Amino acid sequence: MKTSSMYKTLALLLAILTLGVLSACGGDNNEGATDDASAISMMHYYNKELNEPAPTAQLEKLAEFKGENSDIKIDEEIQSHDNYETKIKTLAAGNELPDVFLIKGSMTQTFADNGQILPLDDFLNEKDGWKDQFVEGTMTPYEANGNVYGIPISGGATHLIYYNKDLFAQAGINEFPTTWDEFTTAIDKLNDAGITPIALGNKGKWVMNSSYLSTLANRFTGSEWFQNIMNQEGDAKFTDQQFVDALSAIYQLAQQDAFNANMNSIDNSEQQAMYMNGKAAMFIEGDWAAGTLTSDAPEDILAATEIAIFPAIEGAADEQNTVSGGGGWAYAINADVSEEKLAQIKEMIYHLTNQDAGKLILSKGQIPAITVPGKEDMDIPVLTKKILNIVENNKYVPIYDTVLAPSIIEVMNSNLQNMLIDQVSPEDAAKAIQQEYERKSK
Amino acid sequence: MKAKNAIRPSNLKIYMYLLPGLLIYTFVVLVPLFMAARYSLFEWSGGPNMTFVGLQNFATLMQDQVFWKAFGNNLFIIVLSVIGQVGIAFLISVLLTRSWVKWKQFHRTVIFIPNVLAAVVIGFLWSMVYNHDYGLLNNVLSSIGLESWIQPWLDDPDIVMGSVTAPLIWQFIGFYLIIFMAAMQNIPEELYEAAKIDGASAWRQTWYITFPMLKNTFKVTIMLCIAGNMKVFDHIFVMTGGGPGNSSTVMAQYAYDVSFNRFELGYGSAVSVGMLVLSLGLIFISQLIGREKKS
Repeated sequence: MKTSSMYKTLALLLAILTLGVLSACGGDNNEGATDDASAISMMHYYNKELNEPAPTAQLEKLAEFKGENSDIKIDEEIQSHDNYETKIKTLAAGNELPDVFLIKGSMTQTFADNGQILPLDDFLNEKDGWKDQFVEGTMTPYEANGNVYGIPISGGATHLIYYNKDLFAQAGINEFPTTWDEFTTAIDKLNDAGITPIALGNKGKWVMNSSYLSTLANRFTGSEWFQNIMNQEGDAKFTDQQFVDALSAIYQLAQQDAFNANMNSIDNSEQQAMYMNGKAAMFIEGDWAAGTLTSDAPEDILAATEIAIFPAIEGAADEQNTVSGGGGWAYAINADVSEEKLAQIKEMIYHLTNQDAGKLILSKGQIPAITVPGKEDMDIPVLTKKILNIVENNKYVPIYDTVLAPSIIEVMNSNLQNMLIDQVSPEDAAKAIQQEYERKSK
Repeated sequence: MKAKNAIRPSNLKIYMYLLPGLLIYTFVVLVPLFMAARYSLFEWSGGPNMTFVGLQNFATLMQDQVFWKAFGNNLFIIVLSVIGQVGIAFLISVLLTRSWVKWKQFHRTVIFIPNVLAAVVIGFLWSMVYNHDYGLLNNVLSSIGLESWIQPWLDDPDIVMGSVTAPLIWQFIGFYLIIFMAAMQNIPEELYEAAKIDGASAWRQTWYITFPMLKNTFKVTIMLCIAGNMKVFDHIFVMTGGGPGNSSTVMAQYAYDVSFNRFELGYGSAVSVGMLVLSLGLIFISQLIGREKKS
């Protein structure tokens, strides 16, 4: 008897508590909203623990800004990189974007069309000479409808071949191939020597796109073709022979076992790991990988590491000294922020992206989007110096997945994965991409 | 009447108890469901701009090969899971009622443990097991001399569906095991005693008593199995992300890709609604089959 009545009271208590929690949640939200009115809400993916160059530099600059402006309250929300992308898209769908956040080039058009982000052209001209300090091409991904919507942070290359010259020598290759034919011969030689030629971790699907195809395809098609595709002018099609040739080049690499067998189930950090364990002679990724190699690779591997880009392709029509790159993430401002907050946000973004910030990014081992005066005298990691050298002697071309519509990229990436395992021919892959392109242009 | 009222709480009390759960359910399930149904009629990339397109999204869905392939993958998982999860769980629960089995509690707990792990943990765990170079599976195979069996388990489109289904089966056996064991305790002991007197062997008892007595439990478990596997997502998302290509894409993964990778939230909602309709259809069919057997 006593226990049953005890249970009853307990259950009732629980029920009341649950209701209380529910209503309390509602209350909290409201309080949060009033709090937000004075603090700038900001979302990013910078993680101190990961020790990545540009994010760490941004965190240090952010702390510095907070120290100098104790009157400005910044409410940070920090996500992991991949979660960040999902979360920002979800928030955009619910029209609940924070005041200041990071966007990728491919998000620009959608966010701008929906009126969710501010055009920043006036802001760029407010600071004397600031706009011209950015490396040419780094803002292109964030342009939409004739306006700039993002201030880029880092602007390095997404295609770089990190190779181990000791393993190359072991296979009888004394210098990095200068033509595509020599490149494919080198791959055969590496295979004969029992070394995995290229470590590939394409589970995230973007590696093949950003680090391979964007550069390789431009060598075949030229920039004009891509501009036509982007502007939907002329009769440029993904089924054009030049583009199919580019896909075929990748297909051929897969056919001659240039990659590890599990390329579609490991990710980019695992491809770096394969390389750092001395299991593979090369891996192809952006300049950010240099930071990881510098801090994590065993000394002998790091000492043997050289950097190259795809060699020139015989018979391909266009410029061959090109590298895809020019901008990864950029700051964007919510279109709904108040005047007062906007002024504060502008100061903050300027502090995070000016030449001082660029210098810090460079000193940590990544290529900033802004030019850095006096970089010759700076003490920067060896690999970063090598990359700077390459970047300065070549021309940036657009990274596909920062400029093409997300749905085309999705179709392209899935087809690339299938092509790598011989499930679809380059011709059919091109057809599928073209189909999605036509559907989007309607 | 009076005695009954003494035990039975007043209606008001019942509704009050139900209210919190119902409220949560409404906001977490019902409201989003109706919102998704509404969004599926629009072309919408998130944000304020929405264009009404009527049933256009569903017309596209009907002809969307990736969607139907994803549905096929869901069916594959369901068939294997009904055999694997429900079948194996039944066998183990029969074993655990045998008197010669030692440490029953221990077995039950161990089999149930994967159930309390988060799907993401399971996904990571198994992608390590399947890893081509360092994975447990390939290591075991090579150490017992079966090098020829070594596969890129998550990279070959012909076997990837089998590879991603195995962890799903492994995780949920424990769940169905608990259901079966609870149901078996409700079978009157007299039936077994009578059978023993008639000289029926243990396996005949299982086949003629346990199995028929659990018919309704089977129906429920199969329904749970279908419903659970129609919405499977996280394991596969972590292990392969739907790849290579689309070969391990399930419907929920596709809805996610369309909504959040392609920014087509309207069409993504249509995919979700399609998923709901197909799930209800399957459950309805499975119930129909169950009913026919009865008569």
